[in-house]
Amino acid sequence: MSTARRTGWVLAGLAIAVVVVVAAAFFASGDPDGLERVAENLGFGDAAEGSPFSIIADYVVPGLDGPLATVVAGVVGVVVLFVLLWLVGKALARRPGER
Amino acid sequence: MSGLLHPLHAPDGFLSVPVAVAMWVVTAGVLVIAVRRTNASLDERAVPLLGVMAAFIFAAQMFNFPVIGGTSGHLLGGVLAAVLLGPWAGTLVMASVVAVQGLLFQDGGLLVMGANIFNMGVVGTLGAYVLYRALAGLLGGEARGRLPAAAVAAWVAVVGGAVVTALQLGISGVTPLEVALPAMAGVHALIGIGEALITIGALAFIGATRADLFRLRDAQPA
Repeated sequence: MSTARRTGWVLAGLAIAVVVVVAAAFFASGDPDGLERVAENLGFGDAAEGSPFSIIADYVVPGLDGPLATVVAGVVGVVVLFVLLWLVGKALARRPGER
Repeated sequence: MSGLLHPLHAPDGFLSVPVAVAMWVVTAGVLVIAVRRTNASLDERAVPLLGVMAAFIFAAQMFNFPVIGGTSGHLLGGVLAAVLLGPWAGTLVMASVVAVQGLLFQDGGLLVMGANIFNMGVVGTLGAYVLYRALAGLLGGEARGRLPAAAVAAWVAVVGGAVVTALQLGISGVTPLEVALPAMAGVHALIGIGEALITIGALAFIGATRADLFRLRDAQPA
């Protein structure tokens, strides 16, 4: 596996993640999910407490409207998680020849 | 509730403080082991895959698919992560996804984050993954049995996570266990079908484009 092809696969993987984000922003079901449905049906949905702070709450970037707000939120999440796990992986991984 | 997407994970208040704290203790213990085991075994070539899997699972969790009766579900991804990265690195990926969702997107409470990581991550990466390995073995090895074994394990991870969540809700006294258990298991039995389909779709895609990635995990000492 050449470095170029490996890099290409990483970029393709991230591109797929962004495509999923865009699809989610336009087509994701707005219905309550499994836990929310059960919480509503069983009457404990009101037990939910709000967060003490708000950054990109509900995957909506403050100041943006509609699907764009969610697309940008999702791309932020994709980049943050890719970089975070890259750093964690780099910190933890064995170098070749080690062990 | 505003916005196109609902918060998807348990908010604070759904679990009692003792249950939430107990789950944080369990999850923190698992994470310490996961860091140590990953440190001992992670192949450097797997690092980019770690990042891509975290990014993809985050994105996929945003995509709520309809199931039945005005209810939706979304991928968890624990079995997918564990099949590719091994159970310990997979656990770190799932914990990171849930942590970023809670901290950055206010999706899932902070006090209940330990429970959310356990229910949506650890149940799949450590629990259902064991089932995956056993089933793949029965089917003649991972090369042949990967997709069916992953499909079953993915479904079990979702239903198992729902059952564990119901137990936590019941112990918390938020809702009676005898009501919560069938309700959570029932709806997640349907959501688990989506989990199975997305999991084998992703694995089939990787098998078609980068089958060598499957050998990365086995190259690592157990």
